[in-house]
Amino acid sequence: MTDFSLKDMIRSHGLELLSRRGFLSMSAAFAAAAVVGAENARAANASPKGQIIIGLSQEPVNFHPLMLAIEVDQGVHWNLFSPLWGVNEKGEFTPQLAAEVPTIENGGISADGLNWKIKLRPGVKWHDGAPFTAEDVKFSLDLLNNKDFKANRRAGHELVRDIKIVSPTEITWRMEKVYAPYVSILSWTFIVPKHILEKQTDVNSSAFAANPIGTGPFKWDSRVPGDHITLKANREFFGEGPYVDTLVFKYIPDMTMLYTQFQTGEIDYLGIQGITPDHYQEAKKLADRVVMPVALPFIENIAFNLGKPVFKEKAVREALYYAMDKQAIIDAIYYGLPRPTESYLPYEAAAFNPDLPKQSYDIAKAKKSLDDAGWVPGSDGIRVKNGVRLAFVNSTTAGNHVREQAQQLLQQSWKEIGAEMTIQNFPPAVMWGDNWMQSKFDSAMVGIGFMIGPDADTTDYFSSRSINAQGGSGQNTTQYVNPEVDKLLGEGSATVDQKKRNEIYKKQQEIVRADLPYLPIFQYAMVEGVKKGLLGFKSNVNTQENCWNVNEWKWS
Amino acid sequence: MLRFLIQRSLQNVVLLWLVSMIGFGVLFLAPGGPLAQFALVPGMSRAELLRIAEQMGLNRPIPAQYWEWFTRLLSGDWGHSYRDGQPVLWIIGSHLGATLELMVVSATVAVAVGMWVGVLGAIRRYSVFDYLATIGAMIALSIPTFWFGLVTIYVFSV
Repeated sequence: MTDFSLKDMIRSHGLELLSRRGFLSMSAAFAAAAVVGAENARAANASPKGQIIIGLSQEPVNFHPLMLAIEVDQGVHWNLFSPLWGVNEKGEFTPQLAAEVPTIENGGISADGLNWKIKLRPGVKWHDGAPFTAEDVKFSLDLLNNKDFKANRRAGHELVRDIKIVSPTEITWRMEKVYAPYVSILSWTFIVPKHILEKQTDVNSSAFAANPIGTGPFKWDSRVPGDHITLKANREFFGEGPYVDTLVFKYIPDMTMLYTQFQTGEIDYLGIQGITPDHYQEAKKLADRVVMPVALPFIENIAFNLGKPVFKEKAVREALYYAMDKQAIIDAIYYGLPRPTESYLPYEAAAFNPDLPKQSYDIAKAKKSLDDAGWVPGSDGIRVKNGVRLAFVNSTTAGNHVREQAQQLLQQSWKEIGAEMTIQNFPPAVMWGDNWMQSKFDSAMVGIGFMIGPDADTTDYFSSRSINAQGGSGQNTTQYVNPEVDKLLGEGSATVDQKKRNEIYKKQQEIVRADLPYLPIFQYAMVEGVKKGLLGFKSNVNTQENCWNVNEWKWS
Repeated sequence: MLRFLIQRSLQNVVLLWLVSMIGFGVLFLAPGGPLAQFALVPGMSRAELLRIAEQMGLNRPIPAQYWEWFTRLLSGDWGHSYRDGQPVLWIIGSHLGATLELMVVSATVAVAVGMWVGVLGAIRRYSVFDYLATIGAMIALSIPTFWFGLVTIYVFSV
């Protein structure tokens, strides 16, 4: 393994000998032909050329897309496998293995939301040449529901009953109850081959993961564990592209080294976990590199434990929000990268409410809000009401220097209005264990991804039944209870019409913004980069990783 | 003599068994658990995590988990990785080649250089070379290898 580095591989195959210009002109001549035939996707992927090297600071190790995986694994899954439909950066569902996305209008879903009829794309082949049929879809869903199988996600799939194969390109089933997020869940569910997996006696066997066969734009070639994975173009891919012949996922554990290799050109795309914010300004000035902040679906916020007496009053939470200098936190501590927000949904979500009231940094208003609510400053400057001092602890992950700075800034601002915040941080396993899950904390500084993938259903975070500390099950660690929100959540998951659902969730955001169980600070941004000339990259908040459309990437 | 050997062997077996129990138990002191790495993946909900934990038998009492692990270990089934589902033996094996190569080379270099330096230092006792060699050896012994290793990785493999 030590003598088989990627560099040696390139050198021995002579690609390094070609100057960048030579390489580009070669692929430019070909790209010209590809542009002419761009309308006909088949012609474009008839002869893909060249390679793309993707650099990641986490290693993809899971290649069975229905088993437990983390974000970086999904990036590889998108290239090896296909779901019934994908989801693009606008939140639109794009037909992949399905001929069209089922809706009530086109008859794919019955009016009551229970009966589904999916038409599949004809002529799709697995990487080993076998034809893709409805049998593979039924097999994948049955596998997910198999009690012995270590499925990564069963939510939604467990509601599917009576799967019928009408023809090799048509499949129907019945849902046990209406569950609107299922369309989104299926956009992250990759279909696996029945003809290979049914032969396995042990459903959890890892043999398939050592040599995965899918229907995606790239085929499995080889892997050096701990170093890189190589994929080759699938010339019979049913969709657009691929335009390159070889795709390499290179694992570089250290982020400084990742950045260095990006600068020297050893990698063409710098992905997860991105360029650190302190290098951003310098990276922007690099010649021949395009560096951009990409949005992530995580929202940084202050979470209040509403079970603690000091946070029970809305006036207190509002006052603390008025006294938060968001822009200072973003500019001074986070180099201006992330976007300030008022919502718990990312800007790019279809259900995002852009009309929420904008917070303003107003110390006078904060003080007035507390005065009006009867919080009187005591002899030490800290306000008191009914014997309760406006004093609380704020916790986050210990060792996160950036967050510690933000905490100190807030501590100062809040002292001004008579609130005493003590900083107490813990190692991640302690902070986010029972302390968080069983609502033992006072307040926390936390980054949360509220959506279920591309779906805006936030029942796990806002439903009164999702409070672990009160006997429920979920992630409502703020112990937020609002019957109107409960009602909206129920309606949202029972309505199949996406437009209606978006309106419901917009209303929910209004209510939550007024109640302020969380003080939203900003939406995360990560800095990724590509070499100049590499086209097609699109950041997508609705997928777990930005390698979702590598089939569209090409060299200019 | 034989009695001594048997006694010692038995003691070692008991010791190894105790060590296995302590080692296994210590892992549970660290909060979070093996599924912590999946907790923040977009789309993962608490209900799913609990279901996965139950399927993996992670909510059984610790002695029960230990017993299954121990008996399987002895019979050669070392289980599968939580992270990627691959057999543990295969993962260890895939790194074994590189590890052995590093060990053999570094041992060879250490013995060759060390012997030469030691012999020369003994022949020319109390010379400048001897003092330098002794001080150098002290420093090398005192520097934590894990730290020094990281430094050399940073310096040499960018």
